[in-house]
Amino acid sequence: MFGVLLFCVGCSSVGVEPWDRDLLSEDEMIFGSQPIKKAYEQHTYFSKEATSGGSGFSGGGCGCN
Amino acid sequence: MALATATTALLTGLAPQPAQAQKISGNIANLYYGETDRVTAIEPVINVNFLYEGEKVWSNKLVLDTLTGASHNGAVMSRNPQTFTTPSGHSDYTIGAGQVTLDPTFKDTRIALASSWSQPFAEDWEFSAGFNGSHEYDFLSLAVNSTVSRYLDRKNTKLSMGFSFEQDAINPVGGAPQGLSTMNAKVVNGSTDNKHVIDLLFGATQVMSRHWILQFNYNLGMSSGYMNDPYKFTSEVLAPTDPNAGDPNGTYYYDKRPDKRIKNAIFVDSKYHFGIYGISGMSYRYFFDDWGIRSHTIEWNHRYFISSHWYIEPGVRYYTQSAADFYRYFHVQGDVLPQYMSADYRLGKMVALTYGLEVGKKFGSSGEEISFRAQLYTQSGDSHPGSAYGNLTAQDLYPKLTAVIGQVIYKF
Repeated sequence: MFGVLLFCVGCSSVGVEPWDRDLLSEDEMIFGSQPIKKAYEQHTYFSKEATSGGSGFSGGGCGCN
Repeated sequence: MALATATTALLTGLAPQPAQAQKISGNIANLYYGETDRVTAIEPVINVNFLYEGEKVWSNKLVLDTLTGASHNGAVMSRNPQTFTTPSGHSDYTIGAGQVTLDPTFKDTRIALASSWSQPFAEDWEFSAGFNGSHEYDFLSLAVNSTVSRYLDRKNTKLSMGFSFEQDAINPVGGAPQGLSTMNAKVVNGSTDNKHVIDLLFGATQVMSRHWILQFNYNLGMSSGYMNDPYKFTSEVLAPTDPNAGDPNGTYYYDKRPDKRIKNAIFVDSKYHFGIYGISGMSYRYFFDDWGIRSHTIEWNHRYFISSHWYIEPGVRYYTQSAADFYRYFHVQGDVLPQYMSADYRLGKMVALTYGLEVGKKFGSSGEEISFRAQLYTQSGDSHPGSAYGNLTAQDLYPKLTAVIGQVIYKF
C-alpha cells in the first residue's frame, strides 16, 4: 500500500475531477473528520501501551500512569 | 511608529471574533473507561469550532479527565503478602498472597485546553497553528504545534509537514525518586523534574479513485528528560540457590529509564466507499524506537447505513509490541543492577485486542449527529516467562488486563 501511494503521489493517472468528489466529500471519507473519537483512542492507547504517534503527533500531554 | 501601527492592524485582523463566524460547529462527548479491579476513568469533552469566511477555522477543546481505582505498581505477585509504602511515604498498603500488586491510592484529575487556527494562504496552501495545555495533580504539559500543507493535481494530492514542541513538568507525590533507589531508602532528586518532546510529522494524502483515498504518515518523536514512572517498582527476588527461590525479599527498586528516546512511526490509512454497502477503513502502523520496542497496529472498521439516518459501525484493533530492552519481570538478588530497569507492564511484550460496535444517528443534512460506542479492550503478555524459577513459576507475572470502554459523542 505504501509503495502504491508513493508511486501515485502527484500522478495524474489517479485522482478524480472536482465534479466526481461526491462520495469523497462524505464525512466518513475525510481523514480527521472525527477528532474527538480519535483523541479518545489516542489517549487510551497512549496510557496503556508503549507506542504512540503515526496518525498524529506522538507527544501525550499527560502523565497517564 | 508606522511598523507598530501595521503590526497592530495585522494582529487585530487575524484575531478571531466569534460573533463574526459564519458557522459554529463542535462536539460534546463523554468517555467511560473501566478496567476490571483497576483504573476507572471518566472523560467529558467539549469542542467548539468557529468557521469564518475564507475557510478559516478557530477550533477549541476543553477536556476533563478523572481517574480513580488501583494501578499496577510493577512488583511481582507472591505466595506471601507484601507491604508497600504509598508514594507520599505517609502510609502503607498490603497486597495479599497471590494478588495482583495494585496501588489502591491511585487518583488523579486532569484538565486540558487546546486551541488552534487554520486557514488557506496562497493558492493550494494551508497553514495551521495551535497550543495545548494540560494540568493534573502531578503533571503539567504545555505544547505548541504548526502544520503546513500543499495541494497538488486538482487537490487529489495533499502533502503536509508538521512540528510540535511539548514541555512537561513532573511533580510526583512524594517527589521524583532517583531511578534504582529503593522503596525503603528512597532518594528524591527534587520535587519536580522535566522533559520535553519534539515531534515532526510528514504526511501525504492521495485520492486514488472516486471510491478510494489513501494516507501515509511518518512521525518522528524525540523525547529528553525525566521519563521514569515515579510510581513503579521492580521487585528483587531471592536467588535460585535460596531455599525460598523466587520469593520477593522486600527490596523494590524505583523505575529507571534512559533520559532520551527517539520514536518512529510509519502509518498508512485507507478509506474505501462501497456505495450502498458502506464505508470501510483500514490502517496499519509500524513503530520502532531506540528503547528496543517494536510494535504493529492493525485497525479495521466498517460503517453501514441501515437507514437514511441510522448506521452501525463494527471495529477491531489488533496490537502487538516487543519489550523494551530494559524491561524486567524482576531482579535477582546478587545480580549486578543494570543501568536501566523497569517492570512497568506497558513496556513488556504484549498483545492487545479491541472489539467495538458503534451506533449512530445523523439528523438530516445539518451535520448534527449522535453516536454511541461500546468496546472491549484486552491486554495479555507472557504470564510464565522462561526466566521464572522457584516460587515465581506458580505466579502470574503478567496479569491480563480487561477494560470496558463506553463513548457518547454529540456533534452539532
